[in-house]
Amino acid sequence: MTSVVVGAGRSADVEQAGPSAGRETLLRAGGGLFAVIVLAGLLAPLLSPYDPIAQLPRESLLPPGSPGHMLGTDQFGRDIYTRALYAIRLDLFIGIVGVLLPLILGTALGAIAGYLRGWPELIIMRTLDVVTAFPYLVMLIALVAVLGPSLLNLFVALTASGWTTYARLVRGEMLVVREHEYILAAEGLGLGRRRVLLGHLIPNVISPALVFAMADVVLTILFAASLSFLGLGVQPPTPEWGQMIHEGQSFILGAWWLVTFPGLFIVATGVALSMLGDGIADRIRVGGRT
Amino acid sequence: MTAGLTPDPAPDATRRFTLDPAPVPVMTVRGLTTVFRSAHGTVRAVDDVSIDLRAGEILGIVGESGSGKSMFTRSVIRLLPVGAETTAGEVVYDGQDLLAIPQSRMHRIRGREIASIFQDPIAALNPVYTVGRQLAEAITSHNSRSRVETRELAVRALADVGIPSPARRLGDFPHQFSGGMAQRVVVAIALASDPRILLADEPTTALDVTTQHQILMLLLRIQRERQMTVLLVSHSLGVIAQLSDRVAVMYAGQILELADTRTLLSSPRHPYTVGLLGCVPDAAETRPRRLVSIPGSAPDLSRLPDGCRFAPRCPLAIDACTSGEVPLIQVGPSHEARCIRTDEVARRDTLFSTAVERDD
Repeated sequence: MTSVVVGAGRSADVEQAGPSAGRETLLRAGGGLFAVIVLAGLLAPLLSPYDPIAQLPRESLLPPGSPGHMLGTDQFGRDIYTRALYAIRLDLFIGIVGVLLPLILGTALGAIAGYLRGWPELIIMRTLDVVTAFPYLVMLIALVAVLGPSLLNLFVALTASGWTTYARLVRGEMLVVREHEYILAAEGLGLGRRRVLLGHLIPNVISPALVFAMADVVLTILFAASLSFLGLGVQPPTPEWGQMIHEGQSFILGAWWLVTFPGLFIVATGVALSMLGDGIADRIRVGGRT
Repeated sequence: MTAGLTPDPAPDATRRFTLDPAPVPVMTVRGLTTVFRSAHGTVRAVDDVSIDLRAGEILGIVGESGSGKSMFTRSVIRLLPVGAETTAGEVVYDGQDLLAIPQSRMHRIRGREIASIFQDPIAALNPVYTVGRQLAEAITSHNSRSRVETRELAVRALADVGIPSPARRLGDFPHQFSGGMAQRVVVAIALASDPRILLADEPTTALDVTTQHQILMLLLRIQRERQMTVLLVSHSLGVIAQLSDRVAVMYAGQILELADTRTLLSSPRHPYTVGLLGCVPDAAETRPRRLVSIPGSAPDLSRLPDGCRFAPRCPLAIDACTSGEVPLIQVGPSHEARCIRTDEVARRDTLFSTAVERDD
């Protein structure tokens, strides 16, 4: 009798607790900041009168606060504020696509390994071991250096080195979920392997991978910026934060604003996505704990 | 034999005990052997099991955990866990050996011809989908139908298994159902494509006693309405006795005794069956009775004794019991027992001492 009462109390607690008030604020603040950043990127032409690429040598290296140039200009006379705004589009695109591709590949391989077991699992997991044996950034740099710097090759490199985490997460969940009775029941219904895998297993194993993907968007933007900084990512004159910092580093002593403001944009985006990701992850976890 | 079990005095009692003059097997299992391979060696979970499943009957398989009864049903539909493998035997259904046909043919038979329900109803439903969606999946898995038609069939299927306000409940998720209601949903899903054979593996074990009875009566009603053949697996002789036409007793991967239910309950010929019957308490008993217990525990499948597997626990065991494999012996019309001392079993009043008092 006691156990029934205790059990009931506990389940009610879980339902009521949900995401705490603090978490909810975090989610809203992060979401708000992220929305502002996305809008700024989309509305960049409306928010700035300048061209992000055209060079105006006469206005080069103006400090922040100069008339018409809130955040100053770079060595080619381009408005830092304008370039940083336009860079939002590319950086978010890299962050999101650069996570989606490894997420898809990793989930597919992890699911196959966990569901089929046997030799497919052996091949996938040993390949994974080899890939993870290289430090992530080193592998990324090596791949881009070999393939040549371009947006497509950046995605290839991000996917080739980033899928492992997702594959590991999904396979781990798969090993648990495949033993559940509803999988046996689905197979007992005469559903084919593909239908069981896509219809019944994937939806039950994907949430840890999605939670990680939230955080991974920030990391991917940072890594893309790092590559650009090394000259291996987005090529000039395309506005991209890492690229802007790379170009500005030789002026860092005389014109600090060249590197500082793109850096602040990266920080702001990172903070917004982290808060948003944490908040969403919290919701997914609570929702999944039925 | 003063067994603690009496056939259920329901109106169906007459039906259950009328023997079909010429029983037609709908499925014939011959020499089925399923092994588990592990680092510690190979164990035979199902060892040379042969049995007919007759059209329209409820065949009960009873045995303790680890007796191989679940592995037997899973071998039949080829849904074995990782590490298990059927190494010998045949399962003849509809003129074909289910163990030999290609995987794709098996997919068409599973669900449509042979449906299964499992022990834990909540676990057998996918938590991320509504019940309506899972039911729709079962309805459309073997026949394509329009959305409207599927929905109608789903509502009717839920109503048929006794779920109140079925149309509204289609949108509910599995965790919103109680165990008994969830098992009704599982039954509805299994029956969606009108199978000929239903494999019910411990369908009531996870449920409380009142719900158990309701689910058993539901299965019985549906079995009768649809003339379905049911293989009912349970560790509970009480559950098996209530429903089955015939009973197979499994122990350590083998069938020890096979008979129609009345014969098995009234004149068991294997000492293990006698022990099982003595273990079952009966609320209808007028005199207080001590429950017997079978000494020892089920054997480790990797270290089976020679000869009769029950011999180490058997009060009638003699030297001859352990000197060679004991075959199933015909002891009556459609009554077989794997024992060389069946006459002695029939003569004795009590086999097991009742000295051990249960204190729970």
